[in-house]
Amino acid sequence: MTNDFNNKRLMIGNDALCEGAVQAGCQCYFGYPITPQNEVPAYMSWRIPQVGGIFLQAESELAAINMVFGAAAVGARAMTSSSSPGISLKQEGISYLAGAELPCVIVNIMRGGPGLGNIAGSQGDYFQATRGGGHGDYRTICLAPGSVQEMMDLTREAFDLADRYRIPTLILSDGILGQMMEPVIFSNDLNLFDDLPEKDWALTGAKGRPPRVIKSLYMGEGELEERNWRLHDKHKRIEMEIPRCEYLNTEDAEFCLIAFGTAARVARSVVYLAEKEGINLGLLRPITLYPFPKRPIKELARKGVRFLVIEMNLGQMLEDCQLAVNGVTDVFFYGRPGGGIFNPEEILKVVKSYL
Amino acid sequence: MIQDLIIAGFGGQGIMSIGKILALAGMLDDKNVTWFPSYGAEMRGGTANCTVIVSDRAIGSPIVARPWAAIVMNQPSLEKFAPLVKEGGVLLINSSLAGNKIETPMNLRFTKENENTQRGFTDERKDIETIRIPATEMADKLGSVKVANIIALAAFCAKTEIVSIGSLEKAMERSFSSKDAALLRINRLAAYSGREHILVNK
Amino acid sequence: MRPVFVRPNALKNVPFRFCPGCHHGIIHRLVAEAIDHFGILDRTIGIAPVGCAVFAYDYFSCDILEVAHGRPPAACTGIKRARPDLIVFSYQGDGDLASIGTAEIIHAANRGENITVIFVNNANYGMTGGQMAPTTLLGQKTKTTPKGRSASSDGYPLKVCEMLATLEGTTYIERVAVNNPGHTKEAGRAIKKAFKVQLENKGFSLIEALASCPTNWEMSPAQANMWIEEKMLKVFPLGIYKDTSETKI
Repeated sequence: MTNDFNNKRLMIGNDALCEGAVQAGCQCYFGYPITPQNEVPAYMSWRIPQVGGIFLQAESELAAINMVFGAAAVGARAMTSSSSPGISLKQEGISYLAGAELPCVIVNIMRGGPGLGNIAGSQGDYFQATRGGGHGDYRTICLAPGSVQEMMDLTREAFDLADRYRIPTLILSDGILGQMMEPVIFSNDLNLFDDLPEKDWALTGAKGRPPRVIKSLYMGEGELEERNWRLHDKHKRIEMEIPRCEYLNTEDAEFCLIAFGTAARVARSVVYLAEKEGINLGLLRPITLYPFPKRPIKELARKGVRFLVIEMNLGQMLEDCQLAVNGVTDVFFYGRPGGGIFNPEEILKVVKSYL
Repeated sequence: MIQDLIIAGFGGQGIMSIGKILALAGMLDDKNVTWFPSYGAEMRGGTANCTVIVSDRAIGSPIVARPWAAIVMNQPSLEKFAPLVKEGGVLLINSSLAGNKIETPMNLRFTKENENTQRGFTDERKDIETIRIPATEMADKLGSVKVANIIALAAFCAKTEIVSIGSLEKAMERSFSSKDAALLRINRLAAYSGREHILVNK
Repeated sequence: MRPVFVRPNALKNVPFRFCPGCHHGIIHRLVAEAIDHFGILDRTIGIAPVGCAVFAYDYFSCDILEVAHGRPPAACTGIKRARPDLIVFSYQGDGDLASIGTAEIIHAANRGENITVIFVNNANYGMTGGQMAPTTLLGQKTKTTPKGRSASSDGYPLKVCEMLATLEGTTYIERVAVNNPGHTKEAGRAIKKAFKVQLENKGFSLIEALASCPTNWEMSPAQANMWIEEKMLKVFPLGIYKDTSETKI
């Protein structure tokens, strides 16, 4: 059901994500069916041809990511999407994309794992998404939407970031955000990309210029090390420039929740419940998972704020929070693994036990 | 104010549709809204349910363990969700298909899944407001049992004023107008009779 | 004086570093001649695979994309769909195309992607030191079949041309060899034809080139050429397996 009203439309997260890609000028979508992200290829199959783009259902996740690899290499804005088991299959391609410094957008609508797990929303792929995921020493930018609006907005922005840093960019969401419906506001200002660098590396045919090679194999002595230092410099630049988080009620709270995505939505309800009981509880929601917003957490810790990390896994982002806090104050954890989802009342109880 | 409710019934009763219409109406009222379906293997056949939240504030959890209200369109949904409604909340029962005879089939009685809901279930909870409306029979009289969902939704909205009448009508129009005029007409009729039922029995 | 034999423009002015007697150099040259023939150097994208031919990016003077093992047909699909004006060829070995990348080649072929595939079959994995390939002949000794390939444990040599010719999506499929001047001339014609099919937007073309690997076969270059003639041609007969280029619009 799509309904326009003052630029507002009620959409499910997976559809909104597609609109974000279309707004970004995504030219190619390649994907393979897997629940709970099936709405993405279904939507793209009719939507992207409307704007002159390419939709292709690939024969496998491997093929899909390598189609993205080819399209990105010739300078097109390309995207693929999947859910956890499919993202594992794509890791080979993601490593090559990172090695070849090709920009693209990869969407993971997480489900429960390990293995085939189940189709319920989960956050079990945090490590995979923020530590590189495939083989080799690399990172990918990772954005975590917290609403249907952000499914659209962050996907649009992901293309921008990918191009700016020549890096694969992940959208890490889950089945709940993908399936739920909320109003989204369509931005009229879509010219976000004015300052992007020219794609002077793309394979466009060696006309009037020397031939270009895009590769990830560096066999010469010292070549690969030099290459990896360059990637490292880029990662450091990303860590300086784009960490982002949302604050709720953190000004004078002495205890603060840290959560991303769907877990952060539950955490917001916990803050509301605490408010009713006169408890001053804050929430810090990382929006970029890589780069992780270490500094804001460190600053709160220095003020003596203690933390409860909430995740729909058994403690993955927890490690980044612990690294940020570095022993300055307490970092507690509450989580439920793949397939389980907590409710606000149960978390408030945990919070109270630490107060 | 945050109003959250669960709508539940058989697959095919239009549970998801009225959830979306309600969410859309909330959006047209300029509220924050979230609609969340139970999705997965249970989608085909059996019970279907969705959660709708209408709120002045930014909405937190899209999944609600203890809702403020519930619309239950069949007996299994009544048994599952009536005990979960918060104190002071609202329960709308499609009395054509639920709530007349409370007898749990033997095969469901001792399963672990049903244990908690069974224990807490009484037909008449005194701590919540219960509305009974024979939505399926009323729909049948209008010419199609399929509009029972709209009757229930309209009755619920008339009772709780969760969304404005104007927005509800507009939301219905947007949901049905693209299909055909006859469909919109009978759904309008259904909405009217659902609302009437509440106003007359006030 | 008019030169009668020159390096094609589509090859860089560097010597090949392949083993003595290896056929990759000849096949590279034939591909380069086809690119020159059609004057498409400035809009051709080549794919360097994983295997001995990965260094294609050092030799061809068109733009080159190096792709993961077996995935070139998928990457070609991405390129060609995004930029149909570019001419795309993949250059793949038998491990790449007929083993780890079987799914990718079959589906690209079945979709009738408008690309050209050069498939080099030397009946073993050259780069990694001569292990069994899907195209290894029955009884052929390799690093991983020390007693010779046995049908009962390793299956049979995979016949890619025969297989792909059955797919409705394919347009031009031919098997060639470059083990003597006559075969080489035919191979040059076939590769030009494969590019022509793509230039005319007629869909998927694949040329399988039987090639020698004297180092891993433990033969002299001359013996290797003879082995192709006497052994490989029996299992992998040369010829056009499919040509619907005249009837395709």
